[in-house]
Amino acid sequence: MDRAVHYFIISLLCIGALSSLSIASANKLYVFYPTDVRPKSLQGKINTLCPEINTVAFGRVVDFYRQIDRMPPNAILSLKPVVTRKQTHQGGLKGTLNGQYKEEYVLVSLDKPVDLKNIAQLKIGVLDILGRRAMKIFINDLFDSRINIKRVVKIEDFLPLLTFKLADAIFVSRSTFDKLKSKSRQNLVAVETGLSIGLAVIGVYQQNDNKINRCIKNLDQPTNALLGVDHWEGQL
Amino acid sequence: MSIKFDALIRRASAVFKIGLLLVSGVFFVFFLNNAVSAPSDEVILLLTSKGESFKETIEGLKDDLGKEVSFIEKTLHNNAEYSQSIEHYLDVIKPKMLVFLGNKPLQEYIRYQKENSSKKFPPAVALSALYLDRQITDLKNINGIRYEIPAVTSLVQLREIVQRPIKKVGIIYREWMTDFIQQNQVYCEQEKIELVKVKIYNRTSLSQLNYHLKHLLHSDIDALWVANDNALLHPRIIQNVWIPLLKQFNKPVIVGIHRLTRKNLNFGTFSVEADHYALGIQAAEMISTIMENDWQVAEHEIEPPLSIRNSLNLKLSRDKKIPIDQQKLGQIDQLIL
Repeated sequence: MDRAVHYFIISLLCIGALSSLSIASANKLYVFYPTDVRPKSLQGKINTLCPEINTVAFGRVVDFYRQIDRMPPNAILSLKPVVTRKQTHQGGLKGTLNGQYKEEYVLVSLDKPVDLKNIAQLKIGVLDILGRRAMKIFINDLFDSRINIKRVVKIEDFLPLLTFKLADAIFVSRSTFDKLKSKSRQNLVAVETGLSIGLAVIGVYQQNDNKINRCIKNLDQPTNALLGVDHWEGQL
Repeated sequence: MSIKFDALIRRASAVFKIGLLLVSGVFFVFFLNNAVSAPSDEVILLLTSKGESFKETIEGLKDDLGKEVSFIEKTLHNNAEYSQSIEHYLDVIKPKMLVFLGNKPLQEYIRYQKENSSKKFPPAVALSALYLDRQITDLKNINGIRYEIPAVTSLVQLREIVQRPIKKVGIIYREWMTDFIQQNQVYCEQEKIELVKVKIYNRTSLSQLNYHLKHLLHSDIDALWVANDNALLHPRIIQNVWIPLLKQFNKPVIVGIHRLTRKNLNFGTFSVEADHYALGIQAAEMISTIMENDWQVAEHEIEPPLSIRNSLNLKLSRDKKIPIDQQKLGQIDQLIL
């Protein structure tokens, strides 16, 4: 009898432990969004505006993905390709900028614009948002060509990449190009690529968390600007 | 009642056993899957000095390349042990590539190559060693990433947060650093920043340093960039020359070591160091290029570090009335209040 009770208690404990692994942490939002500001600053801003949810911001995509696996949150916020790759969290709010879900990307170089016809011969700087292998595949698919990429891990690393001539051009969003132009005195020139990448989106674990959605929809303009959007669309 | 409860317990424990079997199955499949996708037998040997920053760099390397190659890490604690080991490691481990982190392993490898000049050396990448260009010029089959942050990287960031023009920046340096300073001058000119340079002899007395630094600080400069030179940054010189002279200098002082911005030292206002994890990613990129080139170093390449971590002594900036853009403080890794 004692042994049976012992088994029963262990069973309950194990079931509890296993279910805690599979159930998302309530009101928890993980954010990976490459921007000028440090993750802790971004996290502080969202947590101040949304005290009812627990936001954790990550500076590296590898840590972001790792933590999602270890302790899945209710929702994740990142650029669309980052959320799409992580299939566990899908279908939440979508960020828009000037009414668009995507943003145009340009190729920026020093002094002389690059010739898109020669793209395969160039070294192109890109922000690593997916990890080494996935990033390579993503860029090759996007350009429909084999691209020689040089990755950086932060937005601010783009300028050194050009200054030190470690890349012929960098592949950045139109808004990042504008920021780089205001930061640098170098002659940065951009070429349209006709390519665009999805803006920030929310991926949800199994069902929408209204607290998180309400909070994100009510973010102020400066915080939205940090996340590269001006509006959030989707059901509460 | 008791019989019913016993039956219930038995049923629960049977369910638990089935669950345990299922979980074991899942773990087995997971293990099998990982065993299949485990790194190949291609080994990269990491030879490191002791230090926390090296651990971060290795973490970056492993995060980026760990699924494609195996890393064997050897931390060496003293020269004697190390110098005996380098040949041994090459013979026993037979690495496809070597990565050096820190000065000492690299110096030992320089000696090893000199003593074995007829041998064929595996490709190598050197990181986190000071003034790498001077060290690896004569080495074969090696690439590297410098440890020093170019002035332009620090100055462009400083220009973002300081609400005052940063056009002329003073630097005092010993003559052995001439090449490094000239290279920095070229980068700074690209960003329309002029380096106001004062070169001093390699063997300079305290009074000479005092004289030249005083002269530089009184010249028409918007900020001072302090180069990482152990001789000029000896604690005695910091106390007796830098700190007394900088008391009257109410402009930004950029240093390359975070601890020089620490509270109450009254030295650096802004510091910039390499982001060690990102350095690992940058090195992984270099390694993967060598891997794709059939494990051959195509050309002798030395890159500057791309990614940095910064700190700002906000208290000292306020004391010196250096106007800081409060909206940009989110760009700072460490704020000293």
